[in-house]
Amino acid sequence: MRKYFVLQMKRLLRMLPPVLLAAAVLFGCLAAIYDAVTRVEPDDTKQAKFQVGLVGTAGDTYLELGLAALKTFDDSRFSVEITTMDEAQAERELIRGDIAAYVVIPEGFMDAALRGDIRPLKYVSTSGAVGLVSLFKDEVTSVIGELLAEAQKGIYGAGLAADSVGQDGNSVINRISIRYVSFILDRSKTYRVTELGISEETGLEEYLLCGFGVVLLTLICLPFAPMLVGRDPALGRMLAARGRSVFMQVCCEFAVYFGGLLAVCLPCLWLILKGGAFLAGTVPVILMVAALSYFLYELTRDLIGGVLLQFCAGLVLCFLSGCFYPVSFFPEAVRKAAELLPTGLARIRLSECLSGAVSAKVTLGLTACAVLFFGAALLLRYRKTTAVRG
Amino acid sequence: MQVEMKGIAKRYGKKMVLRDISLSASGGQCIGILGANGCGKSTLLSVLAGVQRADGGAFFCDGVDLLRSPRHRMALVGYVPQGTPLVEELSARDNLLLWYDRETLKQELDGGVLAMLGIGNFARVTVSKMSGGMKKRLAIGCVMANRPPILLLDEPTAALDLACKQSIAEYLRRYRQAGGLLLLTTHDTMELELCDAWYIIRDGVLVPFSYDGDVSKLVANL
Repeated sequence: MRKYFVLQMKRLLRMLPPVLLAAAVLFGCLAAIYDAVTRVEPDDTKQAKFQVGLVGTAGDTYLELGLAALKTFDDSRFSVEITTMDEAQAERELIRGDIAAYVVIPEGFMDAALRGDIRPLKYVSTSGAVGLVSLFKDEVTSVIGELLAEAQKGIYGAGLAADSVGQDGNSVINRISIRYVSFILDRSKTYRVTELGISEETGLEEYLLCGFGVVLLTLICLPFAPMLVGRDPALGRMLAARGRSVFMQVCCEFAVYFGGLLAVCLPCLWLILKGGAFLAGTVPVILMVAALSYFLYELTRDLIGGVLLQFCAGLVLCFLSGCFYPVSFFPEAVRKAAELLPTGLARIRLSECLSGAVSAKVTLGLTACAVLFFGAALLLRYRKTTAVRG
Repeated sequence: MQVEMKGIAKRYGKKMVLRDISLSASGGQCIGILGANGCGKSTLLSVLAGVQRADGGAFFCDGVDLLRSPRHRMALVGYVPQGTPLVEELSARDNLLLWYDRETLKQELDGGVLAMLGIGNFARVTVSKMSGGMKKRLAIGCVMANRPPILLLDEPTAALDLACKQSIAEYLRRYRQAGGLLLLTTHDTMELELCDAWYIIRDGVLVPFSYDGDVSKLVANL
């Protein structure tokens, strides 16, 4: 089969210049989209924030102090912008879409908090953005519940304690409040872990980087289509008649294709992962992507059909795997399925490579997917080669 | 060289395509296999070539059952299936290198079987830029790499123009004269005239037919 391997290598080398060009264009396009999605201009911070109305805080000095601190100092790009208003105004603004949700703080909330009793907050949102709203609900309640109520409770408690030992409680409260305001400045560090609910290892930018990386790998298979789609089975039959089994033919073709894909993908992944320390960890991803596309191309008979199938199947799998949006936006069932999808595993693996902790489980999953797709492609080819009717 | 097929059978699921294919032939003969579309002509050739497994029967060549001896079959049988068994984006020479080693290819292009087929004239041309006749000659050139004494051709000149048909027919005549056995499936009258024995596959069985140039009689028998 050496001669057949050499023949396939010749085909690959002939195709490589247009493939490299197409890969470069694709990489550039996806990089531009990624940049547009993740870039936040200084003037855009207001638009990037999640607008939330707050009802029922009027007259509470310490709550308002906390809110003012949040408005002034919170520089979290994807965080919330809280506006105090009455409930009627909040309802109007919610309907108009000016705010995404509003929170009603019940009467006597702070007094109850001082007694150690946190009353439930009323959260009102539209039904159109369940995923997004549920994502930020925790954030909003944590802002109110932890940063304001709990902190204020502590400050009041410290004031009372100071009074009881003969010190000036008000002075203590003021000092602690000023320090509390300065602590709020550090909130931007917390949103990477809890606010977005993506993973414990990566923030939104890294997450999207991995997602777009998987999209790139899926689409980079497209320029290889002329090499793999719509071949006349006559050559396979002639080779089979000369003792070159279908298995060996497919192995040769796949090995060359995988090699070509590695040559094109590894430099792209090197750029995505910002270095080569865990580049070897991406090889199972490329293997799986190669096997998936090889199988999809084997399913089709003509070039246009093959390209369309690869394009559509790739994008659908990427979408369901959360490559375009954080998977936490999706319902629980989709979230679980995403982890099992080959592209989901690929995204997880790229995240692992980025964070530097590669797991054997994901490697195994990706390899199993690759074997499955390769086996399916082999079966299809066997049927095509031996289905001589007439 | 004596060739004999005995009771070759092939089924696709429940459908018995070939029931009992039996015939005898010798080197230097050209056998034409005819039949309606879907009667099993191509299936018969693919079974004889070893692409598909037979469900029964034997294919003897000088006493060796080629269905059970792949090594002998590969040495003795050349098979050109329907379609284009070539890599379109590569040159004729690159395609030939899949079947020939470099030294032999040079010799064959200079004065051997490939020169006889006229492939030397377009050895550097990319397959996708070739005419149908050039592609067919190239396919035959590929299969002739190990000079098989039995050649199975599945509709060798289908969809070719008259000049191409003639040039291929001329080569096949020479192959016969050199002692080779040709077994070809065909619907073409020019190819029928090349043959000296004709068989029709009807209900999975080979039925001898005497072709005298009367196409209407042939059609009535299909």
